[in-house]
Amino acid sequence: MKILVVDDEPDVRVLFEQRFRREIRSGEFAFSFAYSGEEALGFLRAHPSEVVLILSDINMPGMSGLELLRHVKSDPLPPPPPLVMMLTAYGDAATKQQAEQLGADDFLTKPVDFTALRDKLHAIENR
Amino acid sequence: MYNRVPGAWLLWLLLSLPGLAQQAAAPEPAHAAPDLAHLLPAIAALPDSSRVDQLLEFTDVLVQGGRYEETAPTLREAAAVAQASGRPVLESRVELSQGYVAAQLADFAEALRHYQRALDLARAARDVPRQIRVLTRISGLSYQTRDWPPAIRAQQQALGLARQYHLPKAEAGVYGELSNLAGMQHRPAEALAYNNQALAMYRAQHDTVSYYGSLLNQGIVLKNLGRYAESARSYRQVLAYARRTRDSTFILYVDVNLPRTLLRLGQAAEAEQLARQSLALATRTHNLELLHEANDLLAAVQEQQGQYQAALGYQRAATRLQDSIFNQQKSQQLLATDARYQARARQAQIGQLAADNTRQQRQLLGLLAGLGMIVGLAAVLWRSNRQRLKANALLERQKAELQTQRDHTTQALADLRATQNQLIQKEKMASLGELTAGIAHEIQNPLNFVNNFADVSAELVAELKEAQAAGDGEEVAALADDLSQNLGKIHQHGQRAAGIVRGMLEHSRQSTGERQPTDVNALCDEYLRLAYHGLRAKDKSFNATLETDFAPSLPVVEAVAGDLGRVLLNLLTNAFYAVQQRQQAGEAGYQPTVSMSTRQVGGSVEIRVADNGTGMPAEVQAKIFQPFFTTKPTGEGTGLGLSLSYDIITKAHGGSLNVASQAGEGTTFTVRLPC
Repeated sequence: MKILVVDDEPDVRVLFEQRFRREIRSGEFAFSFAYSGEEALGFLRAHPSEVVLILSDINMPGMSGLELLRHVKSDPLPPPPPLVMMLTAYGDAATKQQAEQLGADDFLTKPVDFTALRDKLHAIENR
Repeated sequence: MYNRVPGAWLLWLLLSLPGLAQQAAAPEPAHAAPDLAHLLPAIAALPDSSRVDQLLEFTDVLVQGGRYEETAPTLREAAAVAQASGRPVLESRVELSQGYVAAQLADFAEALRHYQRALDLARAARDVPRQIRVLTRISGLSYQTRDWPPAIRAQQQALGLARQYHLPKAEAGVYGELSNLAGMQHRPAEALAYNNQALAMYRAQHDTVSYYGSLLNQGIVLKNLGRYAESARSYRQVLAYARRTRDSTFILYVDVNLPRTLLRLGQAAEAEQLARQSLALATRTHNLELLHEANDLLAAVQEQQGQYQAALGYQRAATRLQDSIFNQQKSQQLLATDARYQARARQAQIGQLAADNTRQQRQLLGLLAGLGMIVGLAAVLWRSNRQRLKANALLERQKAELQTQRDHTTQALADLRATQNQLIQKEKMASLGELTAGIAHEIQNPLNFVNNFADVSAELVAELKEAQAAGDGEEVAALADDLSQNLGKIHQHGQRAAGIVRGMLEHSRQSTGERQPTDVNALCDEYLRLAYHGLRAKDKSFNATLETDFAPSLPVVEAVAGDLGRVLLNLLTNAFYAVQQRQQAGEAGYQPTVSMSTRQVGGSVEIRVADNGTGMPAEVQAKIFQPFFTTKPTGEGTGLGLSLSYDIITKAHGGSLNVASQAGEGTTFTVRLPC
């Protein structure tokens, strides 16, 4: 299952690669990383129909995670449409509601509970 | 010649009774003052509080007749009764009256001493409403002395009491007073804010008369702010109420005030009609001030309509009336303060006339004339000696007064310096408060990394042990590399958090004022994040587009980083506030944007902070660098941010701070620092 992680913090890559090293080694999950909303859109266009899940931060310089979400949900991307999971340090009701209105499939708050995230990812894979 | 003497006597009689002069101005019946000598036996048997009541009532009668100096024996008697009763509340009442009389005689130091004792006694009596009443009197002194800080201190104290003891009526009154004080100091925005608080409270208390009084005041404040349409609306509400209840005082106030506002709104016809009503009323009641105002108004109305001839006529009438009012006031003032002195002067004149008369008679009766002259000479000598003694005493008194005033001034200056330092520290702490939320957010990210890398490293160590047991040397080496990388990450993010905390400490520390080579771009970036996250933490629904354009290879600037950061934080906080205000106005398609850019211009580095927020009209722009000027609601801004920023940039860094703004479009602040 291919997962695109979008976050402006570069160390997120190292962290995800270590946290999910078993799944990566077994070929269960494949992670790609983008450091901005713009970069993520570019990646999606360059790799059509590959990404199953996008895991995106909301507060990023330039295109925010919510704008990325809007693009993904409204722009015609080659099928199947990827799931989008939003991640934010501001776990407030208003942001969550806004993400849901834009069609987010899930909403997580930072700091990320990796055990819970792992369960969610396995659940998506086993659908 | 002899015939002139009775005329002079009549004049003297008139002058020696200050009550008469006032009667001539205000056709009220004279207060029939009882005699203290008759009053004392009549009240001797009453309980203490009633005796004090009666004595203070007697004092009031004298005060209303303008006979301030004659109140002394009555007040002394009242003070003795109050003190003997051992009831602080009675003593407080007497002290309050004594203070009032002293204030009327323009002896403010004495008045303040009495009021202070009245306050202490009211406190001892645990009588909170009385404490508030005394504080209001203390504040009232400022209208005479034009020294406002003590009034504001007194009102703040009264406000504290009213809130603590849940006295909403008194609290509303304090807001009204604070509004008046702000108005007297030409701070209409503040006056409006306080007045709104008073209005809201009166409305909640269903205190209709006070409510409409405040509404009238609102009309005046709004006019001073240039918000004429709203001013007219307030006045009209008061007028409607006044007509409903036939309250002639309110009608008069509105008639005098509304036309000025209407003129500004270009509604000359209605302004003229109201002014003519005032003119008719003034003519009927012989009220000189009102006549002057009505004529002045009509002159303005005619001028606006191009009727210059008519305008000139009204203007002339107004000027004439102004002169008569001035003369009337002047003579009343002279009468009130110098009545006794003038009376003595007249007496001297009479003595002179009498002497002339004696000289005529001497031609007929030499012996009598000689005798008369000796008597006259003795009288003159005696009087001149008395006057010399009096002049000496006066000189002594003036010297003492000067000394007291100088002591007061020195004390006031010291107080002012201390207050200024406190305010600067307070402004720093206020901006630190704004930073705190931003800092918490900024620290959260590195801390998450520290925790995550520590957690995952624990897992790696477990795996490394397994690999070692299995004898998989390659895997052991790979895991050891990962662990070493993680330790590096933990250290790096720990340092990042420490750097943020260090920045916070620098911000709150007393500035040493020492300039250090500073990377302006890094500082801008840091404070932009802090300001944005600070606001986001307070208002989570708030979002703005942040645009940055930092010139690469910007020269290093010699700056006090903490102080410069405080300026940037201030400009950014204002920018976010402005876009937030505009966003809350609910304009369709509005995208709040705050941008920050740096560039080199000649020998300076320029930092621009721009927003597309509410913007400011020219009259606000002219005042924003003044201390205590704020457009934020009371309690939200200290009004010191931009004034301190201005000082930091211009005085401490030799740079410049400028503003460009369009109401409804946005604002740009430009900082220039020499590099």
